[in-house]
Amino acid sequence: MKSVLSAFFGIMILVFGLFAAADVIQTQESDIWEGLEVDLTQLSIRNDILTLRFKIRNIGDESQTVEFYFKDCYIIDPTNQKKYFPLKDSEGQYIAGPKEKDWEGGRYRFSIDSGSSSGFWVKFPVPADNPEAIDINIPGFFPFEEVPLN
Amino acid sequence: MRAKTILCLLAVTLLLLWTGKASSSLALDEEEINIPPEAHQKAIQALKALGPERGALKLTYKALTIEGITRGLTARSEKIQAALKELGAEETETDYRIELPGDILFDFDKWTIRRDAEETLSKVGEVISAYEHPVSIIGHTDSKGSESYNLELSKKRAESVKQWLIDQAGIDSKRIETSGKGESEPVAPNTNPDGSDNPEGRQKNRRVEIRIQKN
Repeated sequence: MKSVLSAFFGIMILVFGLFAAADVIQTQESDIWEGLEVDLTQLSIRNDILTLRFKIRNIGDESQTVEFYFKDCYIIDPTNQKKYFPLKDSEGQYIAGPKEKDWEGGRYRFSIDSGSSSGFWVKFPVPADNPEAIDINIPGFFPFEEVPLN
Repeated sequence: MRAKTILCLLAVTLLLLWTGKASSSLALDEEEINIPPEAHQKAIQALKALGPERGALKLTYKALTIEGITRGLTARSEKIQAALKELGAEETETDYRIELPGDILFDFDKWTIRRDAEETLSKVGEVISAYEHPVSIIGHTDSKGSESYNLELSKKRAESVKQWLIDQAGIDSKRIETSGKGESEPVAPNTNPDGSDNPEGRQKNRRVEIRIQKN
């Protein structure tokens, strides 16, 4: 009986671990806002367009207001030492969201309560030299490094 | 029998996880944002417009250094936000604008900062310290007295606020520029339509405006 129970809990831990890990590609802490972490939850490529989804989580004790402009987000192809900014539509708005204001191509500014999370997404060009990995920079957070593109 | 029950429980849990990831601590929640369907089409057009290099910038040592510095300039703590709210700051695309009533800052016809005003100015100092960009302080008066006298008084008052921020809040003097507008830019009528005095309007006009650039 004990062995069955041990197997059950062992499998459950493994399964929960796998599912949790599957949802996040990489996590970085904020270098500005205490208690905030950002998960890169999705990276997809279609028509040479790289779509990134993020989730900012407040694991601290206090509510935090996160503010940055999409113009300050960028990816780096470290192999070829090239930098790429989010794609912009014909009206000068970055193809990203959600936006609290349209200022300067779009501003993300949301309050995140303790224990809550908030998502955002950004579309970039796939780097022209098709590197195997990229670095991703989101203002206010440490950079995501060596994120595989395949 | 018990073993069978546990196995059934395991199977049901696995099914739940597989179908909806219902129990995952990192499951999608209401904050997860949906990407509008037209976004991808816009991205395709934007990519075409960029050409073969796709808008790439060649990194240089200088560029890397600047990136490191600029990261975090938009930092704002809850304390700063609370201060902005208490000060009634108006946010524009380029700056924060704070209007401080002249009657709180100064006694009648004076340009020395009143002691009662220090708490308010401390909050202004906190906000200014949170940014690294230029600050403009603009003095305004009502229309009582001569135009030239009011112009001079407004300049002196703006200068007093600057000096207080330097001395008491430790703001770098090079960041702050001051000017005086005298009675030339009223925000309310100084007189009523019948020509009589409008003390409420004049009170609103006696003010110091502080503009803190964001970028």
